[in-house]
Amino acid sequence: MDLSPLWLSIRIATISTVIVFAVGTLSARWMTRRSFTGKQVLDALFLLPLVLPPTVVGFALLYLFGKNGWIGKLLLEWFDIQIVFTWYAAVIAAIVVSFPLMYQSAVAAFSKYDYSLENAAYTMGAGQWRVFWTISFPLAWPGLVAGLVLSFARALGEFGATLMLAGYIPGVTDTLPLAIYFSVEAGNEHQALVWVIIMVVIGFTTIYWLNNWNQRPWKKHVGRKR
Amino acid sequence: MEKTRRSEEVKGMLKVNLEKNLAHYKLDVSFQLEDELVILFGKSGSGKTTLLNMLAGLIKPEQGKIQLGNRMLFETGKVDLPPQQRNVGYVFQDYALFPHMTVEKNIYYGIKSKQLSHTGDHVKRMIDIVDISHLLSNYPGEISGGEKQRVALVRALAYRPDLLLMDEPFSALDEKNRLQCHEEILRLKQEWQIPILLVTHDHGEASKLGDRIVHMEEGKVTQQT
Repeated sequence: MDLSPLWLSIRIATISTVIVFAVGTLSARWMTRRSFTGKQVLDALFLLPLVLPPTVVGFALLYLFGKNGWIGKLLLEWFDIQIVFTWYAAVIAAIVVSFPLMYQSAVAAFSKYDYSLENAAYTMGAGQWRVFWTISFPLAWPGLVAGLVLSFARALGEFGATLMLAGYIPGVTDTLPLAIYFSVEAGNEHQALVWVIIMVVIGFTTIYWLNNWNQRPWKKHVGRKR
Repeated sequence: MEKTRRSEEVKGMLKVNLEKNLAHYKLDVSFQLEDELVILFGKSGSGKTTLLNMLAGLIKPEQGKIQLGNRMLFETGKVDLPPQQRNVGYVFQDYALFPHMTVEKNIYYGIKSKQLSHTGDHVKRMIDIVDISHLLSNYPGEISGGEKQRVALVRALAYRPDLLLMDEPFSALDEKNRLQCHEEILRLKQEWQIPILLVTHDHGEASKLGDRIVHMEEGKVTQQT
């Protein structure tokens, strides 16, 4: 049996999750500590992919990254890189649809503890990055991990935007959800069932692990009120 | 040595003259502190905590000046040192101990490894004075309110600040612990010789601890005794 869709999905989800984790964490921390005009608008934009149908996200991405799109055109002319119909396209689609989940979890995580902890660190001479790495990041860690896991699961399950931007090219862009759809369409239900079982097992394990992880004993130091 | 030298140079008077528009009134204060313990006394909502936050660099005043010894911490349009460069010790109302670090790590957080060799001894002595050496490996969630207060105090003094701010440091303590902490503050004051500004709304506490009392009401200094 050809397992390439499984490995491709895992590769795409992993790369997109690493990017989403870094960008989502930093932007959430930035947003929770600042107030400026237009903050609500930016916040809504960040969360937009969560409520839009994936086909709308796919259409927008095609508009940007297509051969005649703003970014697609530049990439093609300057670096000779084509995004559409490659696995990069699947990574981009996964990033956009999973970002809101990471962002939302991270905003909640950074809002959960008392800001005076960061202020205390500043008064003790710590700079922005030291405060981030020694105070904010460890205190938000449980929430950040929740976001990480949810984003990974969302990236793994991405279908609509991926299909529009990356298309279905066996061996190149056939991620698990696409492989399931096209197996069923081709009448190969046995093959589809195997992929479905794999997806369900991964999904279940994710949620189960996350629930248990959140109740780990060391959390008492982080979660407890001082 | 660098740090010690700097502290000696700038040691001395705190001169404050600040204005800031708050939601219900304008904060407008002006006072001076030498190496003494001054009580900032007033009802809640009179702007005491805002004033401390402005001195620490956590809130930006609209206008004014903060001078500590020969260093200018803030001057409208010219200087606005970030909190990490002010060298001000701050004991927060709820102590703000880092819950994920042991007491020891909390205390040494503000000391750079370069300074450890000559600052270590004085920190150890303070740990002995306030009697918390047996708590060093505990987490803040595992110690009592009085113990947290003492840890927060040592932590704020560990990096040899030029000014100490304390925001209602004893409000969460029971009578016995409070009296004990009063004694410790008075002892550390002897040892330290820096300006200390302590916020309270307890009259007994104010007259017991303060060399002077500055009364605040709706953002203004109404009386100095």
